[in-house]
Amino acid sequence: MKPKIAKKSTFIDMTPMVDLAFLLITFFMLTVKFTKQETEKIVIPGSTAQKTIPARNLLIIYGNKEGKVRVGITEQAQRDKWLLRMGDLYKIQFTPKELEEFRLLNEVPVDIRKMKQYLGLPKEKREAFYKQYGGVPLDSADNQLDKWIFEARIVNKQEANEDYRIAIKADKDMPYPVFKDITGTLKKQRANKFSLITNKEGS
Amino acid sequence: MAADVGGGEDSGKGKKKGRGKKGTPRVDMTPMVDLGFLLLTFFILTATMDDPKSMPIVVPADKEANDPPQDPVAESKVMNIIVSGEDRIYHYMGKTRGEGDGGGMELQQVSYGKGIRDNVLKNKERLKKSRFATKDDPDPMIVMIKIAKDARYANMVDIIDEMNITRQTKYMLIDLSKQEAEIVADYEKGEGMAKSSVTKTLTE
Repeated sequence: MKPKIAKKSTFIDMTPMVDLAFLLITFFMLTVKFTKQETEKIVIPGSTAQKTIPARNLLIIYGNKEGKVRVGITEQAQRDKWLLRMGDLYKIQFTPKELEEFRLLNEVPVDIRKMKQYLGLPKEKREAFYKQYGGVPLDSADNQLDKWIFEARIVNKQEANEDYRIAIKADKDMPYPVFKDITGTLKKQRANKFSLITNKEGS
Repeated sequence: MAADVGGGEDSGKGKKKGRGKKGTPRVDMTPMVDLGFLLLTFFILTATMDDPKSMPIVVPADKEANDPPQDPVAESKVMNIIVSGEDRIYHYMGKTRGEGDGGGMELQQVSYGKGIRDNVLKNKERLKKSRFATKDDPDPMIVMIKIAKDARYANMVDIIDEMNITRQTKYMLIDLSKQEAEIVADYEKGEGMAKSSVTKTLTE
């Protein structure tokens, strides 16, 4: 009798392991976040800040290491109106197709006067165009960043009756004066509260 | 036992089948489980665990014409931090040498991280015991962060982070004045360099 029982028990019940495996799959599938394609890589500095970044109702100002500035809003539905209002200010008309293209952009990459040209380009040529002409101007002669932010806030107020939370996502090697220009622009609009996007750091 | 994978103890072996006993129909779940583990591996490898975080800051509104003038601040409770280019950082209490009526403090170069943090904490503790500490204001130190034009954005984030770590709530970010920039330049050229040149030549 005894040897027979020993033979039977060579089977291992894998049910719990498989259950656990599928549980983990479910967990990772639900938590996975596919990073949106970005116009360019920004290496953000580290800090000990703990607050998570809200996923919506957020206006982000990007700065790269050369000091080129871009601006984007998370509310995709408001992007059409945003561009149309900016177009009105600069007397530029945008076609429905261009609006469609603009809605897909996470951030405004170039001068508004070069926007039409940029939106007409196929995706693979945009990077080179951005490298050459990129960045939203924010000098005092023509502070387009100021106008983009202002218009975005107005559109958000009209559409959703909310005020954007403002975040700055800048490269760690960005020259400090550019940061000062950005905060100066924000201050002018009485947006004195904003956050800096940083990576978690051990120290 | 219904969810057994690959058959349990009573999986139909020849003998039992022969008896014609009606068993539950079994599905071979091996491929599904294989695929399951493959997906699991994929999602584990692509998962990004360190989401970026946000560091809130509030900047004071620009002064308006009808604002009341600010109360003067006693120099002795002001710690100055100069954030200079090439990741250099200096600090001094009150006034520096050459500023105002002379006889000020010497600049001191420190390192980011522990160097500046220890100095902030040291000055903070000292001022907590000084005559400036009152019941309403038990932590009287004010930090002035002066940032040079050639500093990097990361330098500023680092220093604000130090303020958060040391729980120093009273700080301001201001520009480095021309006069202060000259003092820093002098320090770098002059004796400051001479002192640190020994270590510099060693590291280079």
